[in-house]
Amino acid sequence: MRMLILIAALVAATFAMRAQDFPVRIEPVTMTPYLQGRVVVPPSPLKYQNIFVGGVDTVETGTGRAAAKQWHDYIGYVSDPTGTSLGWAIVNHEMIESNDKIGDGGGMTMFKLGKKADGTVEVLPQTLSDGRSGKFFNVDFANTVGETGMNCGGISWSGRVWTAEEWYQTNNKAIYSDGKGFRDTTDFEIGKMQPSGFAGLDGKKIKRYENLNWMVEIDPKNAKAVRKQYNWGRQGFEAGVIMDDQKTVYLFEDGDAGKSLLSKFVAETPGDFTKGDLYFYKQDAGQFTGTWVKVPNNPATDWNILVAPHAWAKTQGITGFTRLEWGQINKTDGKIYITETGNDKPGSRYKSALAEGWTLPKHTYDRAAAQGFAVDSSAYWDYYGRVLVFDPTDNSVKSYIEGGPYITDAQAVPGLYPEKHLSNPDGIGFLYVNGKTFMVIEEDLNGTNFGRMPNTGMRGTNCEAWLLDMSKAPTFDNLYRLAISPYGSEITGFASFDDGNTVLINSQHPDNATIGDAAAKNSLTFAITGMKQLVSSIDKDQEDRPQGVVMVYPNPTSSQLNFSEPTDAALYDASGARVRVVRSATTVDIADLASGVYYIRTADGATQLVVIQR
Amino acid sequence: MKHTLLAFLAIASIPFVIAWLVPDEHVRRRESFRAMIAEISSNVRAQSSAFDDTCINASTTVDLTQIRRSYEELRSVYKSMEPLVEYIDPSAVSTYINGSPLPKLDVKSQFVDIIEPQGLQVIDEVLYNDDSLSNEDLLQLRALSSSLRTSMQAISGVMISAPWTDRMIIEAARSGVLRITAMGITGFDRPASEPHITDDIPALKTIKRSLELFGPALTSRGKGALLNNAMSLADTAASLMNGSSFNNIDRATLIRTALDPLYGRCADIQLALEIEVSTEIGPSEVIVNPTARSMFQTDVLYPSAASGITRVSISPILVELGRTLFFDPILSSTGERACASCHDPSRGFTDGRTTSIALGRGGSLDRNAPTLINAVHARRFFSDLRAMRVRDVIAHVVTNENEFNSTLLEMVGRLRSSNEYITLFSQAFGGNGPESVDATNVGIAIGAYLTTLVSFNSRFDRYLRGESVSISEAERRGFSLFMGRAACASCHFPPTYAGYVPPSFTDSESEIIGVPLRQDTINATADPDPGRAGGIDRENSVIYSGSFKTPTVRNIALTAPYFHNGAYMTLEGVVDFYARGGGRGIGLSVPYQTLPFDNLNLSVQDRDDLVAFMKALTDTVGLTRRPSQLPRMSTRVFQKRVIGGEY
Repeated sequence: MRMLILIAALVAATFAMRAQDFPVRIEPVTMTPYLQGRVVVPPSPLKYQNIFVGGVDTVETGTGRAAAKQWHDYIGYVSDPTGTSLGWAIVNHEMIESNDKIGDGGGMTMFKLGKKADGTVEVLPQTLSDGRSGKFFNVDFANTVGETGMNCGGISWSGRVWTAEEWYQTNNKAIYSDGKGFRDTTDFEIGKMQPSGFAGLDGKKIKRYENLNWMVEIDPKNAKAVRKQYNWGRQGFEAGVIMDDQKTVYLFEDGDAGKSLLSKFVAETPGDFTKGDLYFYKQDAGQFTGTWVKVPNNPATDWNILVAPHAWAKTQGITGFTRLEWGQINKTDGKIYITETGNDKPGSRYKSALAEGWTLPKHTYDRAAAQGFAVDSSAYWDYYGRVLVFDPTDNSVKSYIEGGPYITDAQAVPGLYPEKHLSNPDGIGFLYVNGKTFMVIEEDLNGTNFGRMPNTGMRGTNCEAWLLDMSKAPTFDNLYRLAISPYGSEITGFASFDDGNTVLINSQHPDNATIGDAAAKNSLTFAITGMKQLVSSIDKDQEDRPQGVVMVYPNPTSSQLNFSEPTDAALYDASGARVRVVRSATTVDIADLASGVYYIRTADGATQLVVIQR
Repeated sequence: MKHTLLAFLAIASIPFVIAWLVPDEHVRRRESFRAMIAEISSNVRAQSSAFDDTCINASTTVDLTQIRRSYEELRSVYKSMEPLVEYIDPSAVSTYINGSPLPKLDVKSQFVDIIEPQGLQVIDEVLYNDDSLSNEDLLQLRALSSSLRTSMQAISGVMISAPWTDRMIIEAARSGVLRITAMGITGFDRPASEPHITDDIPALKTIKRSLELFGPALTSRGKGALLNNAMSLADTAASLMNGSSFNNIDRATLIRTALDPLYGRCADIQLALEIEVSTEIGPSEVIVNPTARSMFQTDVLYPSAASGITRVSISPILVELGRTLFFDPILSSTGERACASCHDPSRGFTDGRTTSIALGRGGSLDRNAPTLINAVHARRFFSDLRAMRVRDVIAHVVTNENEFNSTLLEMVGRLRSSNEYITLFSQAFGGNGPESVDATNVGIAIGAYLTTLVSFNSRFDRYLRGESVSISEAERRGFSLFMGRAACASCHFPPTYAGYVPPSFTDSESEIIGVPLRQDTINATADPDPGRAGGIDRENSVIYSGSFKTPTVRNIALTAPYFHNGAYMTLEGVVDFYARGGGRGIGLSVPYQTLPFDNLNLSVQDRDDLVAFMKALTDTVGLTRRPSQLPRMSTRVFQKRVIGGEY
């Protein structure tokens, strides 16, 4: 140890002689911890863990192991009523590939989470009812209900899970994808491998692509496909919500701008979703309220409507939303919050929708009017999207929080890029902790322009997950940054366990192909524990941020350095060469730097020795 | 001991604390920069509003001249903002302000949705395609002008609120110089109106003003001469532009004596002031080398992320492994063919055939083998742009029945049956044993080798970057034509002369030019190859039907025959094809042709000059080395392989 210090002192002497001026200083502006190569979450009290890495962790297929699929999206979840574990999670794979072991198309991966003594979590070994043993299990769709593709969002309700496929298909050539997608494009016979559960439907032969884009029920604990929900219509579904009456289902479609459906299904019998009525939402002209239009939905007799419901919907003047993403019910106020991602300039889409007979929602007209444009004008913009709120008591749909801020030359403050910018909300969830309700909003950027990234001359995107305390006003100021996913990736999926203390989130498709560890290079499910302490400290954090001395931690480190407050900083290697400079940052990504002794100088003038050690 | 160290560090840090207590010159610099931005954005607001109002108030018959004048005024003030906004929000610029007037696809839509273009260049076409304005034109113009007005105000907002640092100010200026050189002086953004060589003088002025902000800092460090030199280079560029015309300016001299040294001077200023450069910010992708002194030097660009390799992860051992794999026919199922079979170093990494021979000699492939030189600067690969990564390219070639006719697993199996390969992979990837041989690592190694196949060292490059070499008058004229009247550089952008779009190089373009099935201008037959529309499913759209990746013109003297189908044997033939206006010019139906289809009116001398210039872009020195031997197999099979394949 003494030797090490001696060496360090010698190195420090060399460094001092060769030290360069600190780069010319610019007034700190905002916390812009962007262009991160890995997931960033607030430090203590939270604990961060990588749980499930696509392409690296292996799934038990029943006929051997296979590398798990990638493109993690929705996370379905089931709590463990016995309390012996945290419960089960099942992750969607939003992709299409031919895969001999797991099956062609997209898919899902299930695992069970346990809680360790120190409060962190672990994946538990399991043996399923079909005999598979291991930690991760895929769901076999190809040999049960038929393939799925681009599994994106879903529904978790009462121990049951549904998976959605937004990637709307209209021909077999596209799904075949030159043999890289669904290699079997023969007609699909419903009920041949497993009864469909719908009277008079089994034996019907349909085009292979027509068996895609239905909501599919999964038995999460056994990682088994149960049924395709042929009676809910074939849509570019993104997500849904099942109400406490055990009968009503709301469904959200990520379809074409101005033609995306908001649907409702009401079951005849609680918990049995194979029989019941289907409705599409039609907003009252000039009002936020609306009515539900009944859709013929007997799969045996109304197949032609169900397989292409948009053709029917437009003849009924149904309301076409822009692109609905995920929705979730806030159990505290009973309202459903739905993300609508936005479309940069949707005017031509709206023109086409209106010509076909669709109606557009009032919040869209209101936005266009505020901009001074017609709703179908090519000048009307909707870069950032929003969170909508649907109130089941009066069937109203309104904007809850608009993305942004949108800053023109008239509003811009020199050098003040907004510290919080909400762009293209996609994933949504609720967290109930310590008697408080938080909305979780996850971004999937549709672009980088007009403020969606701070644009510091560097390329790439980072998406963020935000917490919003529902007892406060829905403003940008009240958003709390929970996590940032690596550049190029989308942050998505949200499941909470253990009374909200543990959450799972996904980092999907990072663009970081060659840098860092497997967790930074692949789609990833990560866990954050300690949410209870976090939410009780959020208000404090927001109001009195420590000022003065900047603390640098951890030290030694392997992948990143954190600062206790935003600062300019420069990192020098042992020879005194400057290797990193960050501005107004709370973290420095050092995953690409070699192990060794370094010096970091922060804006308060302090220099300290840090060790990178792997 | 510990206390000694702490005390030492405390002492070491004193000068820096003091440095920060001195009233900062950066505060004054920042205030001046903000004032400049405010002035520019207010001019842009005034002119975009004036233009929109002119369009709204215009009637069709009388007001075209007035609208054109207003458009020119707007264009001119926008040019003064361009270096800043192109740097700070390039996506907004290309989509809504000054992007090409061609339809694109909405990449975030799950459908194949076409986005109609907007912005100055579309307006240019409406205003200048002919000398009249129909009612329909006027309606379109009003939609465009109101959208542009909104976009200008929004991009000004982005520019004003951006967290500008010294690094960003200098890099924006530097990027602006690259943009002027590679695009501005080509008349690139005037698709219909007459280009002027003076168009970029307002941009040059903003670059000059940005650099001038660093004058006091440079002077106080005794480096004032750097700034004076930069100012005089900018003045030289402006006076060369003012003293000539679009068709007559000598672009080689303009670049050699003014623009290229100005580009280098920006980096000199940044380094002299010890301002951080983009590679110091973090490990994220940086494409343009921030310290390159010339736009035409060998390492001006880093390999793109699509190569699968970053600037920090390339090692000599990895490159050598990649080279060995590239020349080893063990990658093919029969052990007969290697990558080098169709990408022969002596032919500029092509094979000299119309389309390459298929494995087993049973026929030929569908398309012409492209050069691999500078391929690592592409974002996407193959003529139809279907592959996003080098490793995907290798997977396509290995599994294609007419190429290597194998599978990745079989290929890995063959490599693992060589202990020598296992050792090479273990050394290169730090692994141990056969596990380190896998398909991903094969892709990384070959990608690493490709990063060494970089050519920016032709005689013409050396001339442009100021070295003591000469170029012929034909080459000089040919370059000016290529970059000007012949409109070649509006797709083949310098410095790569490929479709890699400056100044950020984040996009690889493809174009629909209507190449016929065979070289025949009288009875031309359309090539049924769908191109990019047959590439990835999400691009299966009419706007990409017959669209092919824009290849590099570098080393073109070595890479005949030409075009995706190898239909043209000579450069003279290629020039003639373009001079006639591409496929439409020779009578084919090419509804979405992206090439101007009017006759370029090139004289015989013009054509000879163009060919002379293109032939001056040859440079394969140091790129053609083949491995002296291939790793030995540990089993009896494939013992006697031919380096580079049998055919």
